[in-house]
Amino acid sequence: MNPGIIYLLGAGLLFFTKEKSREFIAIVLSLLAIALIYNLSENQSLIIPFLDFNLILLKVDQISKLIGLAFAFFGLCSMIYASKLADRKYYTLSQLYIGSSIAILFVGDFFSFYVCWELMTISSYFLIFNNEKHITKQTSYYYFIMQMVGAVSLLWGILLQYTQTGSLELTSIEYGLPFFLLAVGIKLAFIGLHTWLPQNYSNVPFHISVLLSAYTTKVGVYALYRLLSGTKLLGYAGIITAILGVFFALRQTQVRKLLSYHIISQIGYMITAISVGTALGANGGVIHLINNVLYKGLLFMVIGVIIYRTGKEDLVELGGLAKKLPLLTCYAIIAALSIAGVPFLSGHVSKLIIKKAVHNPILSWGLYLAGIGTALSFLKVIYFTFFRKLDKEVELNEKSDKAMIFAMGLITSLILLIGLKPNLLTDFLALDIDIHYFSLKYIWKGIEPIIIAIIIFKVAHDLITPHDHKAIIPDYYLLLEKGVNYLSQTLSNLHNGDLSRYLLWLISTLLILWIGLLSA
Amino acid sequence: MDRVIWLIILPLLTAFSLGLIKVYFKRYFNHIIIISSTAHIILAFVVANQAIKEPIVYNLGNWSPLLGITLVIDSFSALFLLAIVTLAYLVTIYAIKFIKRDKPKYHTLFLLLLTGAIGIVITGDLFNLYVFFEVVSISSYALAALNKDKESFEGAFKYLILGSISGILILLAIILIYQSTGTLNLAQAAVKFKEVPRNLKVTILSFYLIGFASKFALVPLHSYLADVYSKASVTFTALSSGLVLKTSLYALIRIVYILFGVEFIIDSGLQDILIYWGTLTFMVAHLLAYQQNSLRRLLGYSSIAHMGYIIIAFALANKGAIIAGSYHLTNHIIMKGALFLATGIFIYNLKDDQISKLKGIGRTLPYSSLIFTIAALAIIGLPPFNGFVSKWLIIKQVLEANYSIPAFLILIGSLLSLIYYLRVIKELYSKSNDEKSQFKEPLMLKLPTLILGLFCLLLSLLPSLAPKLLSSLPDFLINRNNYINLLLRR
Repeated sequence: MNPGIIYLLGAGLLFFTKEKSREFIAIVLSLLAIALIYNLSENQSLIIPFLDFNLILLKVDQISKLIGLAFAFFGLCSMIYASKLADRKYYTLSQLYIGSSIAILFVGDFFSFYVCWELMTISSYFLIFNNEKHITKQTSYYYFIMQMVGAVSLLWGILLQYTQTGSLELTSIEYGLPFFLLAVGIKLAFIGLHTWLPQNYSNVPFHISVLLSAYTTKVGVYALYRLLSGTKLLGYAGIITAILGVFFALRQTQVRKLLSYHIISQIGYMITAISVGTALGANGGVIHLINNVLYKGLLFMVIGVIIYRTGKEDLVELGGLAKKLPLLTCYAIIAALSIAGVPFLSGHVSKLIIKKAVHNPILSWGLYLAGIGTALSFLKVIYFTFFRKLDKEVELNEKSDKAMIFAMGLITSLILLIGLKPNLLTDFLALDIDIHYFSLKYIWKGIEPIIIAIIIFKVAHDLITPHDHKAIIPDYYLLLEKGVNYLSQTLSNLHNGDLSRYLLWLISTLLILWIGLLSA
Repeated sequence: MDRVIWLIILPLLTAFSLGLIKVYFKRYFNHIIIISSTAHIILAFVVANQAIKEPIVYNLGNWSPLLGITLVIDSFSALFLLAIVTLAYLVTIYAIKFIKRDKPKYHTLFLLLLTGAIGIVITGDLFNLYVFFEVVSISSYALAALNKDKESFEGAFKYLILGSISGILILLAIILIYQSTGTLNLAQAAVKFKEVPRNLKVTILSFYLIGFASKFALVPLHSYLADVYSKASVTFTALSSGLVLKTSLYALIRIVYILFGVEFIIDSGLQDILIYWGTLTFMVAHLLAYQQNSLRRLLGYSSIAHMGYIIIAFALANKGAIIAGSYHLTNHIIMKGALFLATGIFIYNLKDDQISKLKGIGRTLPYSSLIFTIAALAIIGLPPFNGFVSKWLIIKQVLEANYSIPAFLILIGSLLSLIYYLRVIKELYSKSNDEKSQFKEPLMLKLPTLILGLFCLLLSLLPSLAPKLLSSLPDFLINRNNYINLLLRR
């Protein structure tokens, strides 16, 4: 059975259950799914005939299994995390969302792939669309339309592939490359196609942004791995995404926006790794994906707690929280160091594998640069949130919530575990590499960007200090909307209600048709 | 076999007895309508069930098919019959609560409309087809004007003028057929039609095509539709989009496939014309729908767009495409019915259908909003809903026939429809400040809407079910000799 089904059925179950038992059921379902995914073996499969082809609803390999475990684990943590704020809508939709994200990992044909792809979009649209935050009405609209552009181009790509090859099996694609690129590019927020991401992730209620941060873009990366693995040109695009993403991130002061741009930047790493085309690169990318789900999720959880307890999330207003929230500070530092690639934490492992896999010097330098940027931006977040001394102290309004702390603790321990025992993941993927993660050379390499970042941070302190500033983000896609509006307006104006005009249309159509058919 | 004729007699009889019932048994008015339509739907299911197994031919009064009136039900007509009767039944229940003014008039006209629609679907004779077609047209003009305000009159007037012209064109075509073949029996005409010169054939085809197409609103013959829809009651718009548009399409398809034959469609260039015409239709209609502020107009344009999809499928004239087209057609009747009926509940409470006024309805009218949302997502063509599978089938067929631009534009059309349907959904679920606690969803309105919504979900959950049911359907269209032999009892 496809493990995604558990969630999809669970969504229906949760819709009809009472307030109190919902949390319990959601957690049990997540545990069940984890167990199920863990016990899947590669020879299991599920094929159902449908229309004139076969739906492959279950096809297991180690990579999808590993990503599935990470998704399900994160799903569990976010269910625990959100338990205080969640309502029926959240439970139902989040189960649908997680379920379709996990289901998509285990399907083996394009048709079901597309169905899950769209189900993710629909459920996440309603997750984002939130009445408490008025602005999400617009941002979610934007989100759905952008995702639909991607979905339409994916569907077109699939149809091209299907009519040319006659098979719907999910493999590396042969036809319709530009359409698949656009589809995957929008999903994983390629720079230039990323505009939907920051505005949504920074505006929804925080427990929802925790959830969103983990799945949508990562499924995009998975699609990249499945469909477009080894497209060499993408390596450069990945580097550009990584560097520009981190550059945009550095300019932000609103923490969740900063983290959103960081997602984009980290995705750049994965794109570069996967585009190398070797098993090492692809596996490095996937391991980075898993790490990213964990530490980026943890960071979103941390900022969530800060929002929950102080009601603020702008670096301009925050500061000095280290004394008040020591445990949270600890989690934040672990996540930030992990993302920066410091040894003994999970980020180090995947970054090292990616570096091993990438041989092109331009790409390596690009990664190095992006690494420094990453370290710098997290220095910024950590310093200004937790350690900066403010004249007027930030007040805590709400009491701490144990469930949140516990969920973050779970993720932190996994980050530490992966960092200290890197072979856990590589053995799971049966990756045959010989890296001494903790040799002095690599430890130095892991710390180097941070040291450079600290130096830059000291030197350019005034530049980096968050100021009040207006965020103007040019969005050229709105021009497209204007174009459609104009076209539609012109057409509407033709319909002025004048009967003689309508009669003219009718008669002339008749004449054109008649003459056309006569002369054909 | 006399059951078949009761499909037509029962609504006709009820329609004309309503005048008496109104005077003498006013208390039982609603009951009689419900009983009559329940009997009718049961009858339709029995007949259709039989027809799917074995096509039915019924000669009225046992006259020979060459002289008398013949009724034919093959699986293609059975599908239409079921769809029409089911929708009509649900709308009847809905209308009992919904229609407050001129109730007897409404129901009389509605039953006449139903009679005509069923007549079109099951007749085997060109002249009767015309008669039933006019019955449908005239009752729909009257229904469109039933609100008796200035705008309804204006819309109905345009509808009447354009509709009459299309009626004249169809009549002209029938005269030409009779003149050249000497018969009006569809099968016999088809046999003799092979000897008709090409130019005359083409002329007849143009008249038929424009005549019917201005009823099912291919662009630019669609002009009256939005004006009619913007003020007419939703029960009428639901029926118009579900019955009037679809039966005109049925008539055209039946005539083109049987009288002219599949080879003619391909050789004469009709295929190209219809496919690009359909493409033009749905693109223009989607763009027009994009601008609308009135929900009924928006849905009306969306109906036009879907007629474009369906005509493309039928223009391809092969087995897979006919199945795809019929499946989409069935889906469209269900989805659009659900949308219109849900809109009706909004209008029932708001007395208005401006999209901007729908704010916060999602909270106060949860069921109808949910059904609206589901049906909208389905009609956009999003998986896992039923609209997606039928769109997928259509696109696949179009692509396999090497019309890649229309196929691509179908997807763009989906995108456009997402944009405008989402605008509605967005309003439905956003927060509103003023209290609307007195809003309610009466059971009689809710039930039919929910049933249509459930159909949507049911077809979504069992997507391969419908194409399987439809698989026997093209037999009497592709091989027109099957139909001719059936009708002539050869």
